[in-house]
Amino acid sequence: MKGIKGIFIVHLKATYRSPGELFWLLAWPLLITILFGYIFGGQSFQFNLKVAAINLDQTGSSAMNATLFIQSMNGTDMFTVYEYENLTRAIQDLKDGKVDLITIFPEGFSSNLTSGKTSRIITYIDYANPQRAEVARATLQGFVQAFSEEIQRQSIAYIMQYVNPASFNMSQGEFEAYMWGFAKPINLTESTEQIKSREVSYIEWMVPGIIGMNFLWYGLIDAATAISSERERGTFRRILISPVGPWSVLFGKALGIITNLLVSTCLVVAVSYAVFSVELSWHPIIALVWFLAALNSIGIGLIISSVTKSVRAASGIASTIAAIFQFFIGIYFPREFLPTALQVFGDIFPLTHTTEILRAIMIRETPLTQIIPYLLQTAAAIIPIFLVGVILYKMAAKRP
Amino acid sequence: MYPIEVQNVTKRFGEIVAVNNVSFNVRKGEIFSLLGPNGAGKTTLVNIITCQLNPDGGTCKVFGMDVTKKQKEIKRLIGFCPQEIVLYDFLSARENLKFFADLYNLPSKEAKTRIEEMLSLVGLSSRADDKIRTYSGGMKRRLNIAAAFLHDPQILILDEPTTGLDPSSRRAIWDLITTFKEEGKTVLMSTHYMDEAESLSNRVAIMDQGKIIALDTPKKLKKMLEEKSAIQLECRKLTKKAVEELSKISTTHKVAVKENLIRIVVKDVDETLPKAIEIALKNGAWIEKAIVLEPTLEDVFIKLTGKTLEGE
Ligand SMILES: Nc1ncnc2c1ncn2[C@@H]1O[C@H](COP(=O)(O)OP(=O)(O)OP(=O)(O)O)[C@@H](O)[C@H]1O
Ligand SMILES: [Mg+2]
Repeated sequence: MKGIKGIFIVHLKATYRSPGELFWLLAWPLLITILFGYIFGGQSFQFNLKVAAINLDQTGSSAMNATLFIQSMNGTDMFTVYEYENLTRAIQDLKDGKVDLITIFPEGFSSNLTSGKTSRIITYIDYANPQRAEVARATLQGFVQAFSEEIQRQSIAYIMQYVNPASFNMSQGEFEAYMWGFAKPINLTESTEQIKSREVSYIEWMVPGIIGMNFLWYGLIDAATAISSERERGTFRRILISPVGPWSVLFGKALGIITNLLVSTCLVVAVSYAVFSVELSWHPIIALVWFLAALNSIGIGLIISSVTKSVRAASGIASTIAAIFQFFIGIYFPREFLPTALQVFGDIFPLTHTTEILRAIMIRETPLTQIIPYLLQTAAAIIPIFLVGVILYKMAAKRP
Repeated sequence: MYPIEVQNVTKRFGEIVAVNNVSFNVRKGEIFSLLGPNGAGKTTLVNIITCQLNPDGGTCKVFGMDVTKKQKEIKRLIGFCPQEIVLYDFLSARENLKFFADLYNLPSKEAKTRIEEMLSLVGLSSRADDKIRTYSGGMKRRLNIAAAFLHDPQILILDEPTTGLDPSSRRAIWDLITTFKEEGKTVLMSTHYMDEAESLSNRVAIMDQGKIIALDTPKKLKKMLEEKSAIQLECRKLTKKAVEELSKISTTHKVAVKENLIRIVVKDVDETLPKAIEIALKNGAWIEKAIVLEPTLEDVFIKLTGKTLEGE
């Protein structure tokens, strides 16, 4: 028992007394969190859109006109509206990125509205930045829909004043519902859950990714060099001359690696909360997912250290793997951005899936019923890797 | 039952036979030395006894337990000091010893007193909290040895413990080993210092090329020589020609040359001494000092192998 404790403590001291180790354990994730947080963090997917409005409508006189529409657009947090006289200038500004979209209110916009006909708004969106364009389009559409609904409500109220529902063999309520059915055959209701996921900011999205990055970079290198460094120093052999056996060495080392990973995870969570107010959802199952990710790193690390002869070689291979896979496993950007062929690299790497699961729980609050099958599948990939690592380690321990 | 029993042990590394059919027993309460030049097979033998290597042939037992079977039990009884310095250089001396105390499951309180005791015995108390990367080679080596004593084992196995130590440190280590022995415990050590083997050991096994070529008390080993004296000429200048001519004095024993020092083992010193000086002077050597000594274990080794311990 004391032997395991001794090995564990020496592993921690080796880490906390080496500036190089500390950099990767603490400074690097800190740097990534803060850097990425400041560069992209403020941009939630619901940003304020700059709108160029061109009002060609002269028919406005009534209670409902283009100017009112523009004013209510401006009244929301979503839009800032600038009135333009001419389309050419507006298009130029759209191309230059000075505005996000153009809305044109054609001749007859207001009169159509008041006379119960369909009014049109013509819009221009620059697709040079597809993500932003998509957000602009969706936001405008949402606003138009909400505005239309208000008009529908007013129109129906207006009609109700003049119609006697009894002549249609209907009650007042039935007739009103009937009118709404006319105006709006299908009502799309968004669930609160979806609204939440649309509001995810980049930094929120990043935090589970940076935790995954710790498993990939630090976890892999720490695990790959944990045994190699003892071997190179001769201490592995000297430990095995004592009554402490190879299992205890492995256990003590694994505890050390897990503790280090826990420290860097806590650091990332704390800093993202303190600096960017990232609040994650917590659930006990996170501990299990996290532990699986650690086993994955330890397993791969053990495999690496048993096929290499030196610390240099072991850390070289570990960092090569990390350097390649970091782009494919959804750490810095969604994997969906990659061409399908390249997504395969992420698919085969279990850390991709533990990161996805963490993200699903911490950010999207996906229900457990959806997570558990995915988690089991991921565990089924990680446990064999871990076991292979352990078996190779045990074999290598015979010739220390 | 002996603390250590080695019977017909053989170990090969490919073509090399590192240990060749070796047998001996180490008795309780003695210091037993393996004396031999580089590559004699001392470390290999020690590694077999400490359960690090399995022998290819023969059996090796520690307190009656086979080293290939009862490893866990054996490891508890042995305190081991490897030939290389194996310590954590990012830890202090105290922390290193604490680690070894943990490996042997020493209760914290006992560990604490033992660590302080060992630190003072190897003269490192004042530097105990410095990281050992700031230590000199000799200081590290002293700590390397201290770690073997820490859990108060029944048997100490030391592989060339004093290599690279200055004379006063060596003497301190020798005292440590002797005190340990006086508690009735057993020591097996390897060395290529004949003075270490001679002054410390109860018995010495002389090893060469994987074999034990002689085994006895230092006194009896030296009695094997019919030559009873060694003439040692320390020269300011020693010519090749002088060495050549001096070699002819003894037909039975090879002369040993170390830099400007030549050693001739002879039967009849009264007759040979003037002759040797004359030959040396005649052949261009400048003699600073001529002394007559008793033969050493190295002379025994030379007699048996025709080589010096430094190998040549
Ligand atoms: N792991 C190994 N693989 C191959 N050959 C080895 C190995 N260990 C030792 N040998 C060989 O076995 C022989 C005996 O080596 P050993 O280390 O036992 O000698 P030694 O007496 O301890 O020498 P020294 O005084 O230099 O420490 C040498 O020829 C050495 O090259
Ligand atoms: Mg050796």
